[in-house]
Amino acid sequence: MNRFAFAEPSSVQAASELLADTTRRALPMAGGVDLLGELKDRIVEPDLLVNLKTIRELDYVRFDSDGTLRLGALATLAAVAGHDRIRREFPALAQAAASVGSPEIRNVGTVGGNLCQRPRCFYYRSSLHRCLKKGGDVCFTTLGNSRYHAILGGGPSFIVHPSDLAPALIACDARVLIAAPSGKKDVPLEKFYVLPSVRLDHETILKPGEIVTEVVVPSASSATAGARGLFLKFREKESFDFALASVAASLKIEGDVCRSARVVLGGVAPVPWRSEEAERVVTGKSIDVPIAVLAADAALKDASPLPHNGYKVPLAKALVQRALLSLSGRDGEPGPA
Amino acid sequence: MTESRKVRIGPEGRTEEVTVLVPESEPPIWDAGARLNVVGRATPRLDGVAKVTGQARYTCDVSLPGMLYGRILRSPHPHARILSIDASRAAKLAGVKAVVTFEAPDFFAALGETDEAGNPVDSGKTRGEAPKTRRVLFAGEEVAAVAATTQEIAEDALDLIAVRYETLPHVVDLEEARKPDAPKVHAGGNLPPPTVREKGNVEEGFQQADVVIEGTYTTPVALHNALETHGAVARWEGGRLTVWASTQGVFGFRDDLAKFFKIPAANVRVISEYLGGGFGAKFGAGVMGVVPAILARKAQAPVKLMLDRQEENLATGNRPSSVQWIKIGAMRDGTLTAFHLRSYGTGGIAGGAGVSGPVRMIYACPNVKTEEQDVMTHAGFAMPFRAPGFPQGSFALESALDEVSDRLGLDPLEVRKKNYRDQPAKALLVEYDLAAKEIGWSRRRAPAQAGPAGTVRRGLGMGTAVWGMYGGPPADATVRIHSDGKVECICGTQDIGTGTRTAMAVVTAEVLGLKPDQIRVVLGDTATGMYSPASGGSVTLTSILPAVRSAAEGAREKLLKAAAPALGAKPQDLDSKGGRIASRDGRASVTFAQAASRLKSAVISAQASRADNYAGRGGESWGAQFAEVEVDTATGRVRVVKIAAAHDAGRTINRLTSESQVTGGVIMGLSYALLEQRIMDANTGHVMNANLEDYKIAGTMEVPEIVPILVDAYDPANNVGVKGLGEPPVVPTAAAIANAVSNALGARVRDLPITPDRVLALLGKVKAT
Repeated sequence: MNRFAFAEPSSVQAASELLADTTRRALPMAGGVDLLGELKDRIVEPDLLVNLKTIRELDYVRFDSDGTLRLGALATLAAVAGHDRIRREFPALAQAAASVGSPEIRNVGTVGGNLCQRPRCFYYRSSLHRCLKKGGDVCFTTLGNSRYHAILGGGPSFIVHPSDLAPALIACDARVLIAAPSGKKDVPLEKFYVLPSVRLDHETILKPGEIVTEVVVPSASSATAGARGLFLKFREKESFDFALASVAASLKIEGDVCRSARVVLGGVAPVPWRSEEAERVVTGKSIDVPIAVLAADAALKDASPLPHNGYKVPLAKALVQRALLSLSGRDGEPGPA
Repeated sequence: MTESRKVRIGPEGRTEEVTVLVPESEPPIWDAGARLNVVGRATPRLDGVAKVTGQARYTCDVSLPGMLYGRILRSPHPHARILSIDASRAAKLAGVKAVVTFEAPDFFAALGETDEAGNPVDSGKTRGEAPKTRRVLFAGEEVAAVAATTQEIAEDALDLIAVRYETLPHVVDLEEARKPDAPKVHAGGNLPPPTVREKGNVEEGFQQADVVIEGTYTTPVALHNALETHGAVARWEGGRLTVWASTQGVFGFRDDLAKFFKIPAANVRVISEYLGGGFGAKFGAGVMGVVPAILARKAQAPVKLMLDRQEENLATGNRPSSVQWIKIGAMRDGTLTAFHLRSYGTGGIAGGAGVSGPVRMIYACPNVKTEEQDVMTHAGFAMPFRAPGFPQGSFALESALDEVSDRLGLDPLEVRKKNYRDQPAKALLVEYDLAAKEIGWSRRRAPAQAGPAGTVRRGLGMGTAVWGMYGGPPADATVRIHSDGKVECICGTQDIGTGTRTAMAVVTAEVLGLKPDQIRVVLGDTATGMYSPASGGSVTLTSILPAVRSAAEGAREKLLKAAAPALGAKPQDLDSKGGRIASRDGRASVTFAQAASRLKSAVISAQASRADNYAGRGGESWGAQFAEVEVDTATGRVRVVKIAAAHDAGRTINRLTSESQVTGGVIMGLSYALLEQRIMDANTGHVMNANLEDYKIAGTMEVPEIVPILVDAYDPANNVGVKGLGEPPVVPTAAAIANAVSNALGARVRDLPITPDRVLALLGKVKAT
């Protein structure tokens, strides 16, 4: 680990100003779970670490009177996972938070940190591999081992986005509030992430000095989000692992007709991968096995696997089918998945 | 002098009397007829509280006044020649107290290579090559080391060491390394001659067969990943060296240091009071063990050097990979006629990829041919790994046997029984029946045919465990009784985590009529002078407990003698039982402490040594494991539902730790079956998952219901009758799971680990990669 200065600002504004100074490499730190790993593996070597945890007012979970959920960037994953009303009204979000890492990590890891975490790709995490994302000229997955990598949206880098919260929050139509030296921004979380074809050095739109301060989730009873949500995460082992593939789905169902849907995949693309194709297939339909199969096929239609990750296609399809059928109360029915 | 004695052997309820020739000095042998009070019961670990409360002092916890911290600089290249090393800037960094560089080709030559027991092995690898500069042979090999006042300064100092390398072509891929034009790891090439063995005539065997099947099975390189990494703290005082080390062999470690520094072994003391596992990767001092001592001598201050997880996974050992082609011939009734095994695998720059043990040892088959070859690659070296070669070999053998059974429409268990290798005192048939009943084997159906049989399918599978009885002399122990009634049992051996400490107390307590927690055990220290072999090959208890028992018997005799006059009895009419010394008629008795207080000295002490194994006794330890799995055919997930594991280790010493040993072996085998594999990048020659995130080890959520069943199989080759249990439980687990998955899918698993991508490929849902 390199030597660095450590600042503990007491306000968002002060933190933002410290991080905006591009004469030195500055990085924000919240729970530090991801960042400390990067520092120890020497993936990043900042001159300055800006500790956000001293900004106590960013640590909250609250509901507005209209049912809007507001998560402070410093709210811990454990606080989200264990929150009764979140579990009731946004089960996908609570399930996603509960699926992260280990109890120790959930006690320390934050909402903002989970959304802004860096890729787990073992080439990216290797100090000996100067990959595209670190300013090199090759994505080693294209020459080497690609078993954990992207099947959708890849190129020129084939990382997958590791966040579990992000797919669940996007399925709930969440927005993210960003503080910048010049003022505040309010963007849909879906637009917060960018593909490597757009930006290589980072997975989000954040610029130096910009800090995620809050995630806003519209009321569970509002028109766009459904009251029924589900997050399914598939990993090689259940004890402390990242997703090989995950799906967050949110359906609004009247009678047995799906009025609106959000289907977002995790672990398969460099960004949380919303599938409007799958959403279109199920909207206006009574979701049964054939419809779920069609939706899953639609979600993976553009999949373009690398040499070692073809298995993610049937796997992700199975998860999409299961999520849709489960939310439609049809998970007991016989079917291909 | 030896004498004949009659002993009862065999599994409980089916014992027979045989005659053995034993040294006259041996106490009454604990055979099937012995009725014991402490041995065989469930005794909690004596150090359990110390471990869970953090009181137990492991190597990493050792902190000495003025102690420095060592770090090792490692090669970033899988194959390179070191042209020069300039460490001058590092040496000048404030806080740096010693820098050593390893550019000399023979820097570590004095260590040589050692076998499992720590004996030197002449590999001939460097023959015909006398270079002036050193070649590094794998990414992660040691190049230099520093000692500094803090860990952070030591790390900074590594950055200041300038190494000029001439990079050379490398090969880390097993198949690439076998090609004639592959870059050579050693001067002799990458393919040392195969080891070929033949019993009978396999060609004739195949001609007699009604059915012949063949298949190729692969297993990955696995990493030991003991919870505690390798590490040591070294301190010099004059010419004397003391090292606290995480080692599974304090005496071998000591001898390696003595050899390296050219000092008498008596001037070296190695201490390993608590050990966080080794699994075979911690034999001998190795480079890792001598570097802190080199630094400490140069810095003239104690040095602690603990490896981090990445270093641990690059440069401390592995279980080699294997590619095994196996062909089996059988008659219609399941009788085996021939085994032919041809295998190769890589242990990186070292050999050890043989896998033929199970094929040669487990079943009765008249014609057996095995051909095994090591393949050298530019990767970290193999070390023995819990039952070296056996989990790999078991996977191919048991899979092929199930394939034969399915082809013949026979119950796989009946096929195993049909080819039973009968031996005196063998308990395997009992174990088959107990474990089969526990798993509900009668529910096993013929393999599911491909087709819409529902998303989740269940399957059952099994495998057989075997391990030889390798314990023996030399091993020494001392038991002391102090006049205040305190008892010490002393042996230099190390407790690798299996419960050696508790087992020593159990045997001592049995002899003296005390409780195990009344015995103070001293171990893990060469300064005791009480020798023990390294804890590997499942030899610790079989080697040391007979010495412990003899020492305890000796101390008991002295105590009874001291107590006799006051009790008005002859020593031979007294017994030590239930914390008292009493006459056999029960009329006169005193407490153990009262008897001790009548000693004419402050302490009595008896030392004893392990006798040779009794001729003709001490066959293998056996076991049978049965697995039930659930396979999700949509996602490829394998979930192990239950494993029933019946094992014997001769006479069970401590039921609790024995069950732990079986459970731990099963978990390790399950992890190997489903998750673990070292991933190397062929282009750069680096290990990509030298961490516990991407090198996946089963955690609590992966652990199924495990039912350990301990069977006593009395077959005393020593006065205690104990055999090894360290290795057998890891032998057949992967095979049993693979057979269960194959049974569920109706498709044969041929590759470990059984990851979702492979299951989906077996189901035809994706191409195999």
